[in-house]
Amino acid sequence: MKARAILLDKEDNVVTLTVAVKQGSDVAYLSDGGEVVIRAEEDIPTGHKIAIRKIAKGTAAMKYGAPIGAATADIEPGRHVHTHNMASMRGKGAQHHER
Amino acid sequence: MKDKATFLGYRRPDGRPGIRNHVFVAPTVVCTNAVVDRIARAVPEVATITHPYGCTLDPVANEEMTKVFASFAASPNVHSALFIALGCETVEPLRVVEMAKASGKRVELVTVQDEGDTELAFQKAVAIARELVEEANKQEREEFDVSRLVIGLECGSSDAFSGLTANPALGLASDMLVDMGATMVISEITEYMGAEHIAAAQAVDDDVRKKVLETIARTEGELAQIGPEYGFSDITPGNMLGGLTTIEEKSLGCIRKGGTRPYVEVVGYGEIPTKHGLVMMDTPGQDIESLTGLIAGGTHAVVFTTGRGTPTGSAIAPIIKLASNSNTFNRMRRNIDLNAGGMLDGTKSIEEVAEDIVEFVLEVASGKQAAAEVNGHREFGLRRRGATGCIY
Repeated sequence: MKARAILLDKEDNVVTLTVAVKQGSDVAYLSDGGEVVIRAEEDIPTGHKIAIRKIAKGTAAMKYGAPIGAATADIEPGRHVHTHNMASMRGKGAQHHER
Repeated sequence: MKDKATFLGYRRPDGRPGIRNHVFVAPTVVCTNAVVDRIARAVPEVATITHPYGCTLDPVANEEMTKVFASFAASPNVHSALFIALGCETVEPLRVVEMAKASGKRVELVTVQDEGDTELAFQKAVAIARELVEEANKQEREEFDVSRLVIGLECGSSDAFSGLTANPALGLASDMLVDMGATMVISEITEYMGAEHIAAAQAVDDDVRKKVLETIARTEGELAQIGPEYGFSDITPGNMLGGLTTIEEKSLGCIRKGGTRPYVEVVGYGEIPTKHGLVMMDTPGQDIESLTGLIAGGTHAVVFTTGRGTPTGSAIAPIIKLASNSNTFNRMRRNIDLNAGGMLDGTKSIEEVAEDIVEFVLEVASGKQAAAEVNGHREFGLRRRGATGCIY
């Protein structure tokens, strides 16, 4: 059975997993009424985000159709997007990004 | 449920009907907490709080404290109130009582240093508490229109599902209640950072838009004062374990609980809204401090979404919990009233969850107890002046 994830806005480059996934498993989400499948490149816990497109270092991670922070390293599709490779652009988070 | 909805509440002298009929007993200062605890044991019907405040704060905090104490006594959910003072505190007990009495209800004061000692103060206070409970018991519920309800919106111990299930469902319920004429009060300004554009677009006019943006910017400015070595906008460890990475992500999920109706007013911490519709209150992200502001501002009850699960409640207002996922709901069944997890499990639509919320709010308004009331939760906390460094 494919794991499910939720895409909130067509601008988004991450989806949210509704179950935990193992590396190599398929993750399905709905986009424009059709099902899209992406392969998880690592183990990722439930509720966490997986990249569905490449997010280059310094560019915005998008969720809810809005920027939720910027990548602190290049993030390939299928990778876990979290505190190790993405940070807020506000306050302390902003210090993680190169000026 | 849709048109001509009513609830059974209590008539109050100031015209704001209540949904509970509490006799509120509180210390004006930390030093008399034990006397209040003794009263609670002797007269279990009273609704008590204890707290670490009441003395030697800066003048601005002292004034806010005075107002919040008085506002709790004046809350529509309170039938009458009794304060226990020490007699030398910087919060002036007589001013608290005088401000609370403006609501037209009975507000009593027992001062330990005037009575002699805590035993004599306790004896006098217990007699008063019994008398107030007897009076309160004589009052019966009457029918009121839903437009008289003021309901707070809160989220705490969030996870990544909060913004996908519970908050959007609460937003839809909020829209339904606003359309029925009720006032919904959204709070926690720290959780607007990253979502300012949405709040601004939702403001009813330019004046409110300006105030919305100013309130968020001022909060961010206060946080920045913590200093660059510590910074701000760290969300909690629990938030991160649950899958949230940044304050922007958390905010975008949080503000969905306000729904889509226009923001009609921005009020200060503990201030009573003057308009019907969706209102923003300037409170911090810390749940207890935010709830205290909402209740001081006259909210009858609060609907509180939670991802990881929190049991918190108030002495005088039902705090209704809505879980973002079925795992948390089932694990904390005794603490949580409602579940939006069906939206993830595929067993419920957002509309069904929103209808569950509206129905439960109306039942609670007419007397049904929320889990936090059953469990005796009565947390109370004043807004801390200065910065709250972590976004809860």
